[in-house]
This record gives sequence, structure tokens and C-alpha cells, in this order.
Amino acid sequence: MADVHIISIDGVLVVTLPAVSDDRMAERLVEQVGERLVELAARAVLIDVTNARIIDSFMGRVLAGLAGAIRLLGAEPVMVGMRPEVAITMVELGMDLGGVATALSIEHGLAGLRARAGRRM
Amino acid sequence: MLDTAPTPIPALLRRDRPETLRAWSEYLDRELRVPHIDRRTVDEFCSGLYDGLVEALENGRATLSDGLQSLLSALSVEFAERGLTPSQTATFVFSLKHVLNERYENAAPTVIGLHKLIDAMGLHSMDAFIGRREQIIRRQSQELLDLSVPVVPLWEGILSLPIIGTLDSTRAQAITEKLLFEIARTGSRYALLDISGVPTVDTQTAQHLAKTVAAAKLMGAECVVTGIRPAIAQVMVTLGINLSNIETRFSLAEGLRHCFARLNLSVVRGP
Repeated sequence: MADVHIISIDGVLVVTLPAVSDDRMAERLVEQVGERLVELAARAVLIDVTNARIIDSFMGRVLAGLAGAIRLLGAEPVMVGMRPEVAITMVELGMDLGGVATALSIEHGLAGLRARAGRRM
Repeated sequence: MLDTAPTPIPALLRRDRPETLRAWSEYLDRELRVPHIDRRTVDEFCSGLYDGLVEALENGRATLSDGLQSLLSALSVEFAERGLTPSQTATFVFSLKHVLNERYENAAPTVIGLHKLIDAMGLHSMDAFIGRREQIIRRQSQELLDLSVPVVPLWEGILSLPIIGTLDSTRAQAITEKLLFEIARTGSRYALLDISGVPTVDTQTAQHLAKTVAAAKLMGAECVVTGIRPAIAQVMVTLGINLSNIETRFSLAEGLRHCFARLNLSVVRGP
């Protein structure tokens, strides 16, 4: 079964999506991330889509919903590692992620979060 | 067909072959100057066509044999590559008619079959000529497309993409793909799209740019559109093109300055 991996680095949750996502996984995604977020009091969530080769309109909506839920819980969502072909397809389909922050990789994402946190303090 | 001539046409043509070929060669020299092609090649084509024609007449065929067709194709390809015009190519084939007419003036009615064959030859050479030209055009536009997408790293983490020429949907797609793959490959966070080389910007061009920027943004890279000339800015405002959610700068240098600022880099003059 395709499953989501959630790990925590330095107060930041990293959610890794599987290569192929099914509807059941998508349904449980928000729930699982929400639980871990509250449990660890994370300040940001990196949604790693490096493995995802296909993001269709359903998955696009799921991701936008996930980002919205993370914001509601007071954390910052960052989409990381989207593949070029996936990005092109999403733009061609007219999908956007509602202004969610993005980064090239988990590394870049963490660096960006650190830089922003530094500025705030 | 009226057959009043004492000698059948094919036999007549065979008999007169050397003289007719010489007459044809002289006619070509006089009427159609083809300096780009050497004599031997022309003479080879002439005798080949002549023999093919005689053979077709002997067999009573009204269509071109495969051998004749491929010879005509070879001829047209040669002419197209040497930069001859379509009418020169057609004239080359049709001139055989003039030569034969001059020679067998009295037997004109009996050579209707001959005329039909030469017409078919001319038409075939035209098709082959145009086919070759189209092939050349397609190859060139592909080469142009390959040449026209240079993605240049300007600084660590900063790519630049100078766009030169009109931005149509095919090019926009090629450019977007190349840029995104380069972003992924080099892990660059910034890309400067320089449009100083784009002659006009219409709503479609702007839409292509917006899509490229949006796709890069999804990947986590920020694009800056630079090189917007005052005249183009004015046109864009008049057309109601809104690029307000895209970072734009007047020049490539300004765009680079913006990226430096975002990367927390500063350029300092030496002591």
C-alpha cells in the first residue's frame, strides 16, 4: 500500500508523498499530518513531492487542502521538490497551490525556513 | 492514336538519340543557365530521362516507371539543394518537349502520348522538389529551436535565459521545459528571463511567460522577467496585460541586482 512517511527534523515536519498516490492515502493524508503536527508542535511542514510523477487535478486539490489545513493549525506549509514535468502539467491544467511557498529540495526548504525565522527574531 | 508515321515513334527516338540529346543540351545552355550544376550531372540526367521516356513509350505505358520516378526525385533534390527555383526545375523537364517539337514538327499529332508522359515527369519533379524544400525547412526550424534555448548560469544559484525572437507556443514550450530541467539539474533558486530580444509582446506572449514563471514557482524557483523596453511596457499596459504577480525589471543587470539582494549578496568595489 502506498503510504506517507512523516519525519521530524529540527521542529519541522517532512511529509514524503509516494510515487503513486491512491484515494485512500489522500484521504488519510490531512488527518495524519494534522495529528503529528499537533503532537510535535511543529512550526512548519515540508511537503516533499520529489517522488510524485503524476499530480492530477484530484491530487492537486488534496495538496492545496493539506496546505490550507496546515496554515489553520498555525504552521507554515512549503511544497518541495516538484519535478519539471509535473510543474508543467499543473500549469497547463490551470492548477495552482493557492500561493503556497515552494522550494527546490528539502535542503533548500529548510534553509529558507531558517532564513525567515532568523529575520523574524 | 493516328499512326501515319512510317517509323514508330520509339524507334525514331532511339535512332535520333545522340542528335536529340545534343540539341537538348544546347537548348538548356541557351534557355536555362544552371551554373551551380556541372555539365556531366546535367547530361547524365538528360540521357537518363530520355531513355526512360523512350522505354515508357515502347511499353505503351502512360505512367512513370519506378526507375524514372526515382531519377526525377534525385534530379529535383539535387536542384533544390543547389538553390534552383521550382520553375527552373520544371523548365528543365519541360524543355524536352520544345526540343522534340522543333525536331519532329510534322509528326506533332502523333506524339500526344509523349507529351502526356513529359507532363507527368514535370509534375513528379515538382512534387519531389517541393517535398525536399519542405524537408529542408523543417530541419532548419528544428535547428533554430535547438539553438534558441540557451540557459546560462550567471552566478551560483542564478540562471539566465535570453529569449531572442518571437515567442510562439512551440518555442515557449521548449523554453519552459529546458529552463525547468536546468533549474532542477543545477538547483538554482533564481532565473532571469530576458526579453530584450523579443520584438513584440502581445497577450499570448505574456501568457506564455506567465506560465513559465508559474511552473518555475511550483518547483521552488523565482523568475524575474527583465529587458522590458519602455515601448513594450507601454504596449503591455495598453493591452491590459497584467504581470503584477511576476517580478519584472528594466534590464538584466537590475534583475541580477534583485537576485543578489534576495540571496543576501552584495557587490563591493575593491580598495
